[in-house]
Amino acid sequence: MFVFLQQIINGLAQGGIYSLIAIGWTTVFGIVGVINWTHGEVYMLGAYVGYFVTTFLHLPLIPALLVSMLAGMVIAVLVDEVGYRPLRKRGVLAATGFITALGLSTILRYSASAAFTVNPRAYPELIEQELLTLFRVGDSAITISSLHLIILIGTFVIMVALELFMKRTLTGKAMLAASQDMQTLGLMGVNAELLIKITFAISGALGAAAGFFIGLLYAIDPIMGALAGLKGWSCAILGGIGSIAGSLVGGILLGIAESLTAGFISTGYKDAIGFAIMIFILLIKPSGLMGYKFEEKV
Amino acid sequence: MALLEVKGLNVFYGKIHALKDLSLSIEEGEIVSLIGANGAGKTTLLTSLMHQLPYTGSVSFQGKAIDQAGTRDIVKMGMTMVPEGRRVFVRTSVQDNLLLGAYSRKDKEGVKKDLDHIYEMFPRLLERKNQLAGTLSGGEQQMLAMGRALMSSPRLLLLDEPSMGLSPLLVDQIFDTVVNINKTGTTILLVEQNANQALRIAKRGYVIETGEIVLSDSADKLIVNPQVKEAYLGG
Repeated sequence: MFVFLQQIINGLAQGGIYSLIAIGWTTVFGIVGVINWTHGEVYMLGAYVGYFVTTFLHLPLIPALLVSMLAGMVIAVLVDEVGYRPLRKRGVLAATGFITALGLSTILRYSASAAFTVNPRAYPELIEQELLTLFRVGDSAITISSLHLIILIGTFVIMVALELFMKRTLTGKAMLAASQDMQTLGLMGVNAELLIKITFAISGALGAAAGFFIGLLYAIDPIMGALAGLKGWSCAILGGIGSIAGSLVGGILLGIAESLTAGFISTGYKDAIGFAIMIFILLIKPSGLMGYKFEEKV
Repeated sequence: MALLEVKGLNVFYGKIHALKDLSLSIEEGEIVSLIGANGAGKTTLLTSLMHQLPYTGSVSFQGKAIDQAGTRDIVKMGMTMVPEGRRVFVRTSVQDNLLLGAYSRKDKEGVKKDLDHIYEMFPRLLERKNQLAGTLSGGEQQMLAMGRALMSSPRLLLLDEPSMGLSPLLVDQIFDTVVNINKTGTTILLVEQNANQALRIAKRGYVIETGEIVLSDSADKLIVNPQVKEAYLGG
């Protein structure tokens, strides 16, 4: 029981990071309709920007995070401008966007390998690492690392900001509407291109924040985006594609599942078992945990 | 001067010539009905008027050529469309659907006033303003779609088959609503398969067949026209 609880706590931070990645995937897919494989690379580049500004400019935690998120926005918007917009203008994005995405992702990944070398790098210590006792079960203390706590708080703040933006601003409402029916939204006089750019900016900011948080925990390398990107996309599907809340739940679930696998079975199996659980859930509920489905009304 | 003047409009889907040299005009304050069978080109016409489809020919609105304008400019100038099949945002609340209709407007006061006005016109929408639009019935969704379009404060409203798939009682209600909207000063181009009712509320009508206007007359005359009777009014 004690180990079980402790492993759940240990999985939360990683789960929050997966959620951030997944939301970036799901918003872009829902609104632009492209499976944006460069998202894993935005995550990786966000981690590197965080590394550079903390190591060489000695920026403290929060400014470094913000710079990293800003860089993620710029990169994601550039990816759209260079890669997807020309296809969108010719109306072939749905058919060919995936290939462009894979190509750009590969180019970014190996350019980063060339520029930064493949050697893993670690962030300097930005906050003191210690174990905080959350509560006690019998004689044993359930603890959380200060780093995990910071990541959880950061993730929470970002999610709340996103939620407020989506629910309270007309632009956010238009984004939700765009994910349902872009053509009809055009009839309201909405500037679709601007909305798409905002979507990429948000996606990039979330991806880079995820990369930055990972950098606080582990060493980073140029190919880190491959598996994390895949997992983020899987969480987005697991939660129900297009649903932000679903992505949040999907990410947390995967984080906890991995942590439990690592605690009770073996670290070596954690990736495989995480995916196995997802495949299982999708067999039972193919539209994802929180996928929307309205009956056709006549 | 006509509010909307369409001259020699041509639309192609690949090699299919969907609209052929189509011309029509709408005067301020009118209800004009465009009737025709499935696939005649009615929706194509409205969609190209909103510049969501490329066309050749000339269209002017309020005396200004709008061929180079984007959909946004057209909405801002005061023309909008209620699309076929309602197309409300099902995962968005009723109120947010309406607010999105006013996206192109900057006058917050005016938007608020219009929102109140829409709720007055459709009390059902007020009752359900916080519900997701996907939970509304078909008739309520049609009202929402019309309300959403009115939120852009249009001078000309293009209505694409508002009666589609609704029960006879609701169809009557929808046509009453169209008349009411017109009375408040909005000009209406009504596209319908339900020719009988569409012509009854209209001042003038056009009949479209395979992309061409084949008849145009006052609605009273069209409704007794033997050709129209046989083809669209069930003998």
